[in-house]
Amino acid sequence: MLTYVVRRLLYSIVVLFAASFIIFFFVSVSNDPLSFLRMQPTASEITIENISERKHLDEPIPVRYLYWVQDMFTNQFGTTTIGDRPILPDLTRVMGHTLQLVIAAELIAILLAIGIGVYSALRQYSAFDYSATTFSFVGLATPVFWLALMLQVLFVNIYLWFDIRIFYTANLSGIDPGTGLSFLLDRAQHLGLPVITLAIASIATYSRFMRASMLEVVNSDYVRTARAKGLHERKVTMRHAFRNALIPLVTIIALNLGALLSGAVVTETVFALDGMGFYYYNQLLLGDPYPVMAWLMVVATLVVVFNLVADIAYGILDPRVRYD
Amino acid sequence: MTDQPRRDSTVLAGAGAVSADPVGVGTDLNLTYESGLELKARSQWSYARIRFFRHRLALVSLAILFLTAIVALRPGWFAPEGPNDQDLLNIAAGPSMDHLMGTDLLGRDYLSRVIFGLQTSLWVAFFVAILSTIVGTAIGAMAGYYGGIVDNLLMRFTDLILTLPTLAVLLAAGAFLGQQGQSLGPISISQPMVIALILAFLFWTQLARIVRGVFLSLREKEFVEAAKASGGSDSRIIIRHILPNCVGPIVVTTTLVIAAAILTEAALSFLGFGIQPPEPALGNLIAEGNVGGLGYWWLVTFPGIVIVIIALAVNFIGDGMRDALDPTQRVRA
Amino acid sequence: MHKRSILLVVGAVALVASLIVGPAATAKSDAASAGTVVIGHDQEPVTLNNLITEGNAYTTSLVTNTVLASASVYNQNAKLVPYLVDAAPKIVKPNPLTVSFKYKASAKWSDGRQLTGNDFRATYNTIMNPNFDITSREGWEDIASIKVNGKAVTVTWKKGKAYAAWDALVATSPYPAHKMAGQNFNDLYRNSIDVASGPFKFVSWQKGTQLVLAKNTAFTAGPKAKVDRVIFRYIPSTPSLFQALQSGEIQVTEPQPQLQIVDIRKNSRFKVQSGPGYFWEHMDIQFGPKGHPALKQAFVRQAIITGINRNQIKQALYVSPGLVGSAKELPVLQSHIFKPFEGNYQPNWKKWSFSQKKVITMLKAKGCTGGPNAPSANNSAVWSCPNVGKLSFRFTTTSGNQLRALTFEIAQKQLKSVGIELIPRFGPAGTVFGQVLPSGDWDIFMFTWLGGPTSSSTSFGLYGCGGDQNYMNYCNKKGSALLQKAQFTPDPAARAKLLNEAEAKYLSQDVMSVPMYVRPGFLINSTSVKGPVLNPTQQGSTWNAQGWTVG
Repeated sequence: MLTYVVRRLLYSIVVLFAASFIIFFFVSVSNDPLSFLRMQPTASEITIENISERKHLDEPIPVRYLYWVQDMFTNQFGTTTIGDRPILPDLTRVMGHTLQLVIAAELIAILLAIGIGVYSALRQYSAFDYSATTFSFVGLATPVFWLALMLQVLFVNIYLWFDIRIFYTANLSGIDPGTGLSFLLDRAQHLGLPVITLAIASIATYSRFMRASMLEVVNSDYVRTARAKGLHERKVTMRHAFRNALIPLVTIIALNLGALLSGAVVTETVFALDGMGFYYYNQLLLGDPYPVMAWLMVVATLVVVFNLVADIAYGILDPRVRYD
Repeated sequence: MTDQPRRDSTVLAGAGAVSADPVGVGTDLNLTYESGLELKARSQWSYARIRFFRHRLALVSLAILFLTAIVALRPGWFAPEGPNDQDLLNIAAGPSMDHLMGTDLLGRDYLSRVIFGLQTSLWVAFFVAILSTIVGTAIGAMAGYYGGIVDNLLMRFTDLILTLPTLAVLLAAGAFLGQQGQSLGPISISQPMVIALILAFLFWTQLARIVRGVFLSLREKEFVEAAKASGGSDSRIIIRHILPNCVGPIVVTTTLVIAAAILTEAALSFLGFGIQPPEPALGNLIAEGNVGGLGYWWLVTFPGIVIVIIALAVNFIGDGMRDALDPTQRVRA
Repeated sequence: MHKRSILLVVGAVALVASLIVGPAATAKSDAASAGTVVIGHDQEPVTLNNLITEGNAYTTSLVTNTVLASASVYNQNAKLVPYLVDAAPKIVKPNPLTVSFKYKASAKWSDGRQLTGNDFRATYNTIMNPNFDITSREGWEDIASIKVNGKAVTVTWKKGKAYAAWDALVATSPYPAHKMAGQNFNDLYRNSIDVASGPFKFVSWQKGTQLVLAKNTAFTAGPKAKVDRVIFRYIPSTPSLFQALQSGEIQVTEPQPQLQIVDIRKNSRFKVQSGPGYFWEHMDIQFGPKGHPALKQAFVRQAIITGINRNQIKQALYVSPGLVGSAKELPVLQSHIFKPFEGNYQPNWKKWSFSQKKVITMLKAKGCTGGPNAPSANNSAVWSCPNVGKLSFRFTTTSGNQLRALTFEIAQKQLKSVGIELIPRFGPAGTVFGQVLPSGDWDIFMFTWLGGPTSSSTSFGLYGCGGDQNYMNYCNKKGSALLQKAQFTPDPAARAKLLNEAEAKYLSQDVMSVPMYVRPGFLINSTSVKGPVLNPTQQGSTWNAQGWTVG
């Protein structure tokens, strides 16, 4: 097990470095972060040269890459080209926000999806099962950004027609969020719509998966045996079927979490939420390679870690899996 | 409908499609014989067809998809006006009998815009599906058939692609490569095709894994040994003997890739890193319409509904295909 | 799981939901409590230092202009009015140009120190320090001497380098000498401003969300602010900004031209002001070796400008949808030098009125072939002219800008019907401005110059031979000489005469660029806020924020 983990990690580090160079190359070769300066009728030539020199923009790309690597290790990812802003504090801030969003959405999604999935499996072909399946299919076919837009339109109109404020449509908190309960309330109202958007997306995936794996377990031999032994139906379901049906779900959730942490780019962008995804989107628009690179490194690491967690969790939950 | 491109759900669907007996017709045949209802031997395909046609939703979906495909192939026959026919006196008009989906900010008939956008989006999805199927099948087949170092190298590469944060990479690639058409020597690639290539580059991995699985399980089988012994070349064995056994999972996975490609391309175009205006695509139509705000609801709503319908249809077809081509799944479904 | 457990889960979720929704419905009515104005903006400042490159942005000015006040402020008519100075600065001597002004006795820093001429001198020294990333040293670099006597300042420029926009230069916000001493100016005011000379002071900046300013009670150089707080909310996507405005989360905003404004105009809860600004949209034509050979022929350029119905474009984009109040508010731009609302504006380009028939006659007369005989919307024939080839041009502009994309589509259609083809070459702003534009490898390039009240005096840089920003490689020696002379003419009337002469006689005759329209500015405020007035300059909507009331 340990050797497996170490091997995976070592391999990932090599991959990360290879990927980082490729991405650095593309971002640098096709963009000039100082272009906005060159556009101003009165911009000072000396200043542009100074920044170019300080940021090594005049060097060939491989040299710039090495400077970047040096910055990453000795200077916490360095500073932005435009504004010399330290990158790490910004990145930590947005990560905190994304964590709040993703954890809230995933908790709701997991609880609901398990409920829906298990119930649909136990009552296969019931009205509930059909509606759940329909929901899941429609959910899977709906683009997230469109759902987010529709939710915004809906709640802005609820406010306009009934003068009831249920959710805010942008940002992470109000102008005076207060403390304690009022802070939580304010945060919940601001995070509400993005959380719903993300949760619907996850529920559609998870519930279908939960239903399938529950069905498989319920129809398996050992559950049939347990039932034949005369165990109470409830006990069969809970003790034997449910637990085993959870195993595959855990893997999917871990994989999905890695992806979600990399930023619910679309959701955050529609709701102008100061999270990882929106940060990345904005930096891409600015065309500054340094924050983009820092972001990718952090996210790629997260994805690697979560994939590993998924593997390990699977190994722990399912005793048949062995890592060599 | 995860926020990320649909690779994860392909995992879900694809995972089920792998089985040692990929076509798995045996069970059904036996049943028929046992009940003495059928005497005529039928091919695998006719059974698959029968099972598919039993899936009513899939059938309806197939009809819908067929219609949209015709519309997309010949948009000029269906669109009431050209996609760029401006009517500056009739800007941003709501849906009416003259303009079923209203007009956009330049007075262009929005139904026509949506139809031409549908064409772009479907073509892109179609190309992504074809490209990723070819690449995925080739890589999976080689890895599974040759095994050893080839397998190791190819699968490490596949893992590498799988560990990339998909949407982030797509956005970066779209931002830095996909803003205009590219030319490779004498071949010039249109901008939507650049986007298709970028998508395909990330979408073949699941299929590669599935195909590899099937090849691994079959390459030691007697019929392969026999083919080898009779002097069949590797490529012949791969293509003629083993590959037909993978058709089920390949078809299912490809269908799901189409759905994923449509949704992902729409998201990319919506964010401004996908297909660029003035080329209409469903995603950038929504982005353009969204600029108009709540007042122009039709500009956001209609292309969205079209996306949902197509993705839904494709998913249902995928489901039907799985039922048809991989009956072991039916116990689960 | 049993039926009951499901119900339990659903019940629990419902309970949580009702906990959130219940009080929420009554918790807050509007974003603002008494005395707070919330301004929404789609761009967050990178730094609060307005003089260095990354702080030289409109969004930064909105904040800093109220904290570090300008000596003179541009009002809604783009006229400089004294604010921290006693009276308008005066020219003492025209040659070498010498200007004097005096800060008000009541002008002081919020920490109690007096604001004096030393602050101006320190600001000059900082701007001239090559170690600091100052955006522009134009005008400053030609200063010969600064004499300070307490609150009085006398500035003398080098001989023959009389800076035309001297009045704007001495109106610059003085930076506090006692805070800048010994500091690395690149890092100063990156995250906060610890002193104020204006009606507001900096309180906090919660990155990614909002920036809070409060009334500066120590301000005595003018009327004190009437509201307690001004809060900037940063919502970096225009659709979301409008959602927030409609749902009362922000009260004042200055949006980019967007069609949503039309809806807001119809809504009685908001007041919309619009008017022309200093940013002008235009289509530049490439004269260099990498441009299309046909564009080096004057008759082709003249055909292009004659074939584009500029009036129809701005009508379609701004007037017909109801974005601007009336067609009068946004006339077709007939000058690259002055804006229609400026006193010295002359419609120098008016001679190029739209006529499709004329285009065809012009091209035929020059021996071009293969084009249509009469203008037609369905035409697909394209002219070829002797020695210069087919009239098919690359058209470059930024992608992702709705109004620009629409402008292109209309212009493309107009030219197509007279046999001139435009091929879109759109790219992200970073690429097209950073690489494509300076490279000269384009035919026609549409973009906006971010001008200001002083930009007319620097026209040489844009249109003079070898001008810094003359990416068109355009050169008309006679016109260029006039533009250069204007750059060093401090008298506004004499300067305007030179500029207009250059444009009327040479530039407009050459058609080096097609002026389109001045981009209109918008200011929207909720009717609960009284006082905001649209300002066409970089001073921005907060120029009179001290006079706003909320209620």
